[in-house]
Amino acid sequence: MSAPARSLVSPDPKRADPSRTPAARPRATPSPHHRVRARRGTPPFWVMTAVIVTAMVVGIVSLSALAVQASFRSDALRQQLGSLTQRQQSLREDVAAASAPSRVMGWARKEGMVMPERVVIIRVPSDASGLGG
Amino acid sequence: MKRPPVHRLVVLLVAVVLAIGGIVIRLAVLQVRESGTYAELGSTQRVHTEPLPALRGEILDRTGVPMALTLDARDVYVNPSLVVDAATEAGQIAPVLGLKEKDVRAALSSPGTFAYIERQVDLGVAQHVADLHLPGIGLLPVVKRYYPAGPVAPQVLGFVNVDGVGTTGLERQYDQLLAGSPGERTVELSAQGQEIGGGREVVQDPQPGSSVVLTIDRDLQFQAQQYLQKAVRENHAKGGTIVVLDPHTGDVYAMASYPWFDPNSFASFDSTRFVNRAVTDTWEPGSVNKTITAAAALESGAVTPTERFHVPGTRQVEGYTIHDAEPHGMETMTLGDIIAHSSNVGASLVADRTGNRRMEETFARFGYGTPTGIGFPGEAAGLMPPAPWSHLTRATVSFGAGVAVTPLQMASVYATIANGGTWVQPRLVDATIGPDGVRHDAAPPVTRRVLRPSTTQTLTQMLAYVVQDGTGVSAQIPGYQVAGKTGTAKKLDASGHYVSKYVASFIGFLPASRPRVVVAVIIDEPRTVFGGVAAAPVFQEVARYAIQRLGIEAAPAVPLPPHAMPVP
Repeated sequence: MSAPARSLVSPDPKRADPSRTPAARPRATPSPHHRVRARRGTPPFWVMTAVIVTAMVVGIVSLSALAVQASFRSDALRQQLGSLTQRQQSLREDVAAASAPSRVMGWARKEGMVMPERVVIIRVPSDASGLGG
Repeated sequence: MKRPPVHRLVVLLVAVVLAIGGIVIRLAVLQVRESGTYAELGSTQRVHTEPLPALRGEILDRTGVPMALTLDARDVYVNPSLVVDAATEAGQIAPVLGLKEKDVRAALSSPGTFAYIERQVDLGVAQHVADLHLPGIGLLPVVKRYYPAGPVAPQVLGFVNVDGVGTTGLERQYDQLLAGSPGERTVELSAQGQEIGGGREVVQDPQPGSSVVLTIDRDLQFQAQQYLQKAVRENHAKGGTIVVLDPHTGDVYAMASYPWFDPNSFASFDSTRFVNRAVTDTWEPGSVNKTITAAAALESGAVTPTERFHVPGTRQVEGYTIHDAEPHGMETMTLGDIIAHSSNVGASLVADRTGNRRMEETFARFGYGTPTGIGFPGEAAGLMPPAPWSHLTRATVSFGAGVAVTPLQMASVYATIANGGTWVQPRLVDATIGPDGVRHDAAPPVTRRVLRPSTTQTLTQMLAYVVQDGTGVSAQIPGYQVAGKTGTAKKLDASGHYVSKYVASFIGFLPASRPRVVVAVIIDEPRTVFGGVAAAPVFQEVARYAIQRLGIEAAPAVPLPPHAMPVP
C-alpha cells in the first residue's frame, strides 16, 4: 500500500518546528492588576500637552522678559554713555578754551607779566667744564 | 414640507463658491503677490532710521594743539501736526534755547510735519528741552564745529556751515578728508513714537574723519595777529596781512589778514573778512621787488657788487618821469646802496643793464605769475606783464610797479634768498592722522634752484645793510642781525589808475647768516606810507617773539656789502 500523498511533501522546517511557531511561544498574559499599573505609568496625552505648552509659554515669556530686561539695561547704559560723553566733551571744551592764547595772555597781564623787550637765545656748550669755579 | 427647487440651491451654491473663491483669490493676492508692498508699508510705519553723524576730524597746530574740534550737538525740531498748544510750548522752549518766543511760536505753528526750531544746540541745553516732554518736539543728533582759540588763524582754518560742510579755508580744502562717513541707526517705534523694547535695532557706525596737522604754530600765530592788529590801529590803516614761514621747509608758521573774524560766530561778520588775503589777493609789491632786480643783475653777472652807478634824482623813460622817494641830486651808488636806500631810479638803471630776458627769466623762476601750490582754495597766481617788455615796463617792474603778487609769493622770494637760493613750495599741512590714529606725513614740498648760493650771500649782505643803515632800521633786533627790505606802493583803483593810497610793507628774515624765519608784513593804506615806519616795527615785534617761541639762536653777523654812500 502506497503512502499517502501528503507524506511525500517535505515538511517546511519552520512549520515543522513547533517551537518556532508563534502560537506555540508561551505568552505571558498580563494580569488585570498589571494593566492598571501600565495605564497609570503613562500620563495621558492631554497632561503631556499641557505640560509642554506650559513649559513653552513659560520659556517664551521668560525669554521675552529677559530680552526686555536687557533692553532696559541697554538703554540705561546708553544713557550713561551719553552722559559720560557729554561730561568728557564739556571738560575737553573747557580745557581747550582755558588754554586759548587770548585767555592765557589775559591772565598773564592780570598777574603783571609783560613780553620781554630783549631775548637772545644762546647755546651753552655741552662741555661746560671751563665754566664757573 | 416642500423642498426648494434644485436650481435655487445650485444658484446659492455657485454664489457661495464664488464669494469664497473671491476671498481666497484676494487673500492670495494680498499674501503672495502684494505681500512685499504691504510688508514695506508696515515697515515704514514702524521702522525708523536716524542718521548718525560722523565725527569730523580735528585740525591741530604743529604742536598738536587743537585749533578746530567737533562736538556732539542736537538739532531741535518740531512736528507741528503733533503740537497741542503752540503758545504754551513756545513759552517753555524759548527761554531754554535763548530764542524769541514769537519765533518759536511761528515754527510750532508752521504748516507741514517738520520744522527746525534751533540747530546745533549744546547737549546740556538739548537735555533741558528733552526734559520738558513736549508733544511734537524732537531732537536730532548732529555735530558742531568749535574753534577753541576763537579768531586765531580764522582765514586759514575757514569754517563749516550749519550742515557740517567746509565752506572756506582748509575746512573746505580738506572737507572730504575731515568729514568721514555718516552712519545710521534703525529701530522699531511704537504708535506713540517710542522705541519698542527688544525690537529690531540695526546700527551702522559712522566712520570718523581724519585729522589734519598744520604747520601753523598757534601761539606764534596769535602773537603775530596781536602785533598786526596793533599796527593797523596805530597807523589808522584799512587792514594788514602777515606771513611767517620757515625758509628751509616752507612751513607756514603764521598767516593772517586783519580785519578777521571769529569762526565760532562767522554769520555775524562781513564775508570780506573771510578772505585769506595772504594767498588770494595780490598787490603791487613796490620796493620789496627791487631785491629780485638785484638778484637778476647779480646772478647774470650784469652787475657786480662793487660797480658804481651815477643815479640822478629823476629819470625820463618813454616820456614818463621816474623819481626817488626823497629828492636828491646826482648820487654815486653801488647796488647795495640802491637797495639800502630804495632808489627807484637806481633800480631802473640796474634793470637796463640786466636786460629784459634775464629779468623775465628771474621773475619767472621766483614763481611770479604762478600759484605757489600751497593747497589753499582760490590761490591767486599774480600778474606779470606780457613779453616783450618795453623800456618803461622794465623800469617800473624793477621797483615793483606793473606787477602783482600775493604776500605769500613775496615771502617765498625772501625765503629763497634766506635758504641759499632754493625756492621751496610753502605748505600749510604737515600731516594727516587717520581714524586709526596712524600719522601720514605730507609729501615733501616741491623745490627748485633759483639762485646760486654766492648770489644769495651778496643779497643777504645788501638786505642786512637795509636794516642796519637804510630804510629798515625799525626792524632791528638787539642781539640778532636782521636782513630785509621795505616797500611802499601806490594802489590802483578799479579802473587801473593809480590813486593817492599806499600799501606799506617790510619783508625780512633772521638771523641774517643762518636764517630761521621769514616774516612778511603788509599794511594797507596806513596814515604813514613808508614801509620802514608802518610795517618794519611789526616785523621787529613778531620776529622777536619768534626768537623765543622757536628758540632761534643768535648767529655771527654778515659783513655789509660794498657801498659808496656814507654809513653813519
